[in-house]
Amino acid sequence: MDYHKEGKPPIPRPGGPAIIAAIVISELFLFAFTGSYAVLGLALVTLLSGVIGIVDDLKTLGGIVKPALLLIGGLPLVILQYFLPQDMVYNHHLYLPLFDTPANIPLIYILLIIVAIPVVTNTINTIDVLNGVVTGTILIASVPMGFAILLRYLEGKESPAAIAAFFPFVAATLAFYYFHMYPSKIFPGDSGAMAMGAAYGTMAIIAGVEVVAVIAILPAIMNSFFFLSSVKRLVEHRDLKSQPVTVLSDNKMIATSDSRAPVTLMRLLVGTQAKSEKEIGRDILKLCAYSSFLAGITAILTWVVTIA
Amino acid sequence: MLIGIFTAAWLLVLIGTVIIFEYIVPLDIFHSFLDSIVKGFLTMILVVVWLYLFVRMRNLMVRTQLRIEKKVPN
Repeated sequence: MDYHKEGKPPIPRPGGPAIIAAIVISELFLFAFTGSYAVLGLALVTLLSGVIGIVDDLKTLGGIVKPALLLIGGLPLVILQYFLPQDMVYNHHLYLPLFDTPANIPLIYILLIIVAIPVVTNTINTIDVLNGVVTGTILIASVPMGFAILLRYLEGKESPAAIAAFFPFVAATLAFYYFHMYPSKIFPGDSGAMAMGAAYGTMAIIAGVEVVAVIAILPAIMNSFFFLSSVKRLVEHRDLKSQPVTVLSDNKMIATSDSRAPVTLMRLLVGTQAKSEKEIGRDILKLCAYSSFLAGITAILTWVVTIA
Repeated sequence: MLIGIFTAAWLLVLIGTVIIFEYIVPLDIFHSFLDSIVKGFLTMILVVVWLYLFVRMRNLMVRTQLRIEKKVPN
């Protein structure tokens, strides 16, 4: 049911299985042609996190159980890397802006993978608040990520398989966005949002563009941070006693004045003025575009300025 | 306002990751396990400062953007 529209029309959900199938099948085809284990890792992480999302769609997992289960999401990457010759799945060097030499962190990187995949997956899931927002966020964030991958490729640090892996992921998200944009004809559900989040996080790891990818999704990260720091515990949105926004009779939304309600990005956007769902969605995507611009600058500072 | 917060968050992410991975992680002062303790301690301090600044930013946003009713004691 779409709670933000007049008459609360029923909307089919979850579209996650379609997103999971699109990403996993196309990446497996790519693996068959290229033999790149990074591509196989991307397919496995998306599948694993997507399946956890399907379980969440069918039987709502708790605020602690879900992130705990997602900890296994990144394991395929670590296991594949362990059994294969060095750097066939990911590179344990972290490229930072303004530094020629990347940080060499072989052990810490394993820990980062195990923590980063559930964090990114959950973060992307929490921005799925309105029609087209989660898919739009991923698509906009993919622009600086693609740019950074291209810069790495031009520098000779990235294999063509990593670039190729980027396209099926973006194509699947773009195809779903067509049906998810305002007014939505289908919702991705937790399975869809989590599969896209896991694929996005994995893409950043296998292509070595982690910092750029993190900055590109700053609106989602800030939304998660605002929520967690105001609620002060891991909790499902459905279990909250007070919601962050109130829907008015004209279907516009305004921030609630209840002190128990969590602080979220959406609540901040309608703090002083009631807005329609379309306007709020557009405002969130504008913030994503700005973060993506900052991520683009980061990519230039990392791979253009250091070479020059 | 939000644009300013995002720019500040970007700078914090950049400065934080650079300090941790370029300066703290390669530390090799004592040439022993003590280095790991020093690195862990310094990273924790940085993360606490980082979270503190983020919370201050959130409070600033809440103060300027939201009208929150104070709970009246019975």
